[in-house]
Amino acid sequence: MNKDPILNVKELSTSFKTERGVVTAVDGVSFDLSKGEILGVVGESGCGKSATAQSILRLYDEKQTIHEGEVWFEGQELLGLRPSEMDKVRGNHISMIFQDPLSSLNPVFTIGNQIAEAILIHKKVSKREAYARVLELLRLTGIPAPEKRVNEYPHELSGGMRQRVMIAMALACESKVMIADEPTTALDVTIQAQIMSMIVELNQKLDMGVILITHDLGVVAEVCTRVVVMYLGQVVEEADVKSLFTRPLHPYTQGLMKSIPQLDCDRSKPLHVIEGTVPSLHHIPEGCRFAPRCPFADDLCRSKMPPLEQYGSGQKARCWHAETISEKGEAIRA
Amino acid sequence: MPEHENEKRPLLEVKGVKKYFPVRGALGTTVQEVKAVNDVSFEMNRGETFGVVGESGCGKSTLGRTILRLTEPTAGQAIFEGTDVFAMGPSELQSLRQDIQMVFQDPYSSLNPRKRIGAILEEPLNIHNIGTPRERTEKVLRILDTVGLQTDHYYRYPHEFSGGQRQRIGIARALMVEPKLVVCDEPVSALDVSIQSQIINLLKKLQQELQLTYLFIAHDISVVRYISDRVGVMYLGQMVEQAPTEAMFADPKHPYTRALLSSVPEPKLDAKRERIVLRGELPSPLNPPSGCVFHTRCPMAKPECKKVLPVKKELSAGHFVSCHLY
Amino acid sequence: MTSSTENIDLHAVKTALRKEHNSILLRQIMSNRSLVIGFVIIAFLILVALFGPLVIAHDPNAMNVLNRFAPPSATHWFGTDNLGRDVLSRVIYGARISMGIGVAVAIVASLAGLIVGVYSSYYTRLDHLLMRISDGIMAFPGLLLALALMAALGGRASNVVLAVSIVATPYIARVVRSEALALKEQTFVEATRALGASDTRIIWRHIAPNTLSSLIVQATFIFAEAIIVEAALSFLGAGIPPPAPSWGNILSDGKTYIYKAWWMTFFPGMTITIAIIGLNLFGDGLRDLLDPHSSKTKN
Repeated sequence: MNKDPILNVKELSTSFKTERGVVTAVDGVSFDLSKGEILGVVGESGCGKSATAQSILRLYDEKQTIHEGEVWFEGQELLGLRPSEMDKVRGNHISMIFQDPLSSLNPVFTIGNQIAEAILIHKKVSKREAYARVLELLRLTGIPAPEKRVNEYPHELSGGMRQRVMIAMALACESKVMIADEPTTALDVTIQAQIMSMIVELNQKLDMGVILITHDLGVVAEVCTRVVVMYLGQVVEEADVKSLFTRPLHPYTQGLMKSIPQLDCDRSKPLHVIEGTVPSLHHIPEGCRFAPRCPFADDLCRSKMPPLEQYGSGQKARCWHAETISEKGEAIRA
Repeated sequence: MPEHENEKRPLLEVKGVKKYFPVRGALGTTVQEVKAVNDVSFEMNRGETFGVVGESGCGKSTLGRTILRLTEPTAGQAIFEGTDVFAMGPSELQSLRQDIQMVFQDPYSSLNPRKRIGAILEEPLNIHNIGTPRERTEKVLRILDTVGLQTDHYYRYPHEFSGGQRQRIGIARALMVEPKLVVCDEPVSALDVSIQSQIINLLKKLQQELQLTYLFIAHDISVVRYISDRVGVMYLGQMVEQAPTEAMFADPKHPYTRALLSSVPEPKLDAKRERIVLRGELPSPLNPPSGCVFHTRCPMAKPECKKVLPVKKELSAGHFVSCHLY
Repeated sequence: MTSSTENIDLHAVKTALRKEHNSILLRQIMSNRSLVIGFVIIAFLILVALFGPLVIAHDPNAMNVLNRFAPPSATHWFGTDNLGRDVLSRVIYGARISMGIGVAVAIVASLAGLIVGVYSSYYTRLDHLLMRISDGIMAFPGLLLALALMAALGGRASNVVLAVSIVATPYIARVVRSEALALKEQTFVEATRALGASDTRIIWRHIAPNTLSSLIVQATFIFAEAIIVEAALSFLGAGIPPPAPSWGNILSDGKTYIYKAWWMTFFPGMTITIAIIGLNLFGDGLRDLLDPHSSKTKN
């Protein structure tokens, strides 16, 4: 990929002060987003993918949160900006859509009002111009009869429609980057298909970079160009989507892929299982964080944390035994 | 009922079940009805898993809860081992609770946060007066082992467990009364992917060991396919297609089933499947479309579909469809 | 494995776990400033109420006409009143009376409110009836209603408890009812019904225990309210009959002489204020401790 990165996350760490001590939800995460790329951030609960996204936009209460590292966007380092300057970035240059569209929209304002607000906060335009843009955005996100919908309230719309409204708000200021945090998890599979294809279309049409946070590897396979896999606050693997699915290097990635029942799997065999459970962030294991659950772990793994190593063609993995494992293990069919 | 007769007939015959929820107007009268389950029929044989799949609003969860009479049915019959569950009186229903049990979706609210696990698991035995106190404790300890938990978990509280472990406890609780039929209502939807496979394997293992029959309700099609012997697809309160799993996935007949199966994103890099995109939105169950409920979104709708309700036909052994195309 | 060895293992496990749970709880309690300060104040006042009368130098009812209106001094820390009675002794005795009434009201209103609350949440028609009655009671300003009830019932300590409990019960019933309504929708209640549990079992073993944390917090506030209402009733002459030194009565005695002998109103007033502050702090601290949703950090 020769495209210039528009967003650089460098060794980002986010810790929260809790009653039981300081908890580090994001620990030294780095990745780049190029223009027009769809980057998938995959992981299960507790891996820190949502926390990473919220840290990029500094959405946490900074009295209880400690950020370390750097986030570079268009020559500015976001974590060091004054709050008033950060306000100008949010929603304007970098926008975000969330998982549950119902609770993300204000129930007492019409959707037209809320989309217009997204515009009026950042651009000095008249209300009339803002509303014209609102209609344009509703059409862009495939909402039929936008003139009528503009005056409707969130509860009058279906889940899929609400998510389209959220996307319209995110596009209001023609952001260069959109962060989508599990945008379709709460939606039905047929609606999910519609929304994802719309996101891809917008990404191509507007050349907008997308960070797609999800736990669904199926969505990743269909939509993403590159993928970052997270586990317990760290990046454990990074690859372009083809490499990830043909030759996953990290045992966690391999385990995840194998444990998902696919539509053509053998129904008589038990599903592959990753033993154990994700440890709590208060009890992070010594050494490699995945070692307690890894079928290939040895003493080295349990005592020393592996660094994120490069393995050719932009693929990275955080594992002492990445190469030997993928040679021994079954290749995942493309 | 003589034993050999029980072996032959289906364990559960669901016939024409309807569940409508009234919507009350200003003066308390019923103004409209939400037709959550609208004439569903199917059969379940002993020892098999019948999967029910569909999107939100299709009525699959309501179907499960109606069969257990956690909510009272509006019409129809549910014949369990020869007796109609819907016609049972309070004492018969009480003993039915030892035959049909349920595993719930949300591991975080399905356990009383103030009770220890041991107490939660002993309660079913207390309710039905099974065994002496010592026998109950022993049974609980055995069940903890069966579902993959440890003895010392007996004295812990739910909040000390992860989602997957809580779901194991929920399964254990359902098994305490040694039921014949277990209705699993989205048992793995709220769990992480890597934990889902653990629980699915557990359910399968328990089915073999304890000769259980499962009604497995879920929206995740891959999971339903994996665990079910037969599958029913629901849309807006009706079961539009049912078939043995292999037949359903190899050759889905109903246009909705086809669209549904084509929308599942798969974690592999196949050439792009032909995705069938449905027009429009899901109609409201307050006012389901006339004729075939699917006609407003069906890519193959004919004029007849709007006017006439399709009849359920058996296309091949055990493969039923309700559609005018056949 | 024999069943007896299993039981022995379990007992050791139970004790170990109990210790673990208790130490976590202790840490949470000690880090909660409101709770600790409130508790200290209340504990002090309770000790005063229980043991104060045993250590005071003067008889609260002993009149000494020669020493009327004496300002605070070494022998009379709070001075003397219009009849020469030692104000400190009266306030200490008054603690017994006023706080005793406060506790009694809190307990009675809690029991009644719990029953009304859980049954209302479970049975709709009963709910309509009970809630309309509650609304009726709450429509009256509490003090006026208590006054009216006292006029009807007659001035006795037990009637004060009854009257104030009637006024307070609807507030507890509402809190319990709203918790119970939310609990009723929780999956574990449905699961217990699926197991075959009767309504009574569900109400008392599953729903009611889960409302206790809100109930206790509300009860501490009712305790505080009851002290104030009793003081007001006695102040107006409709509460505990004098010469019993309830805090309200002491205040009432002092109101005519407020310019001449400020200590007659100041000290009982201060004591009431401190008691209320202590109770409110304790209630707030308790709510923070018991209610996981009120935590302020976003994680």
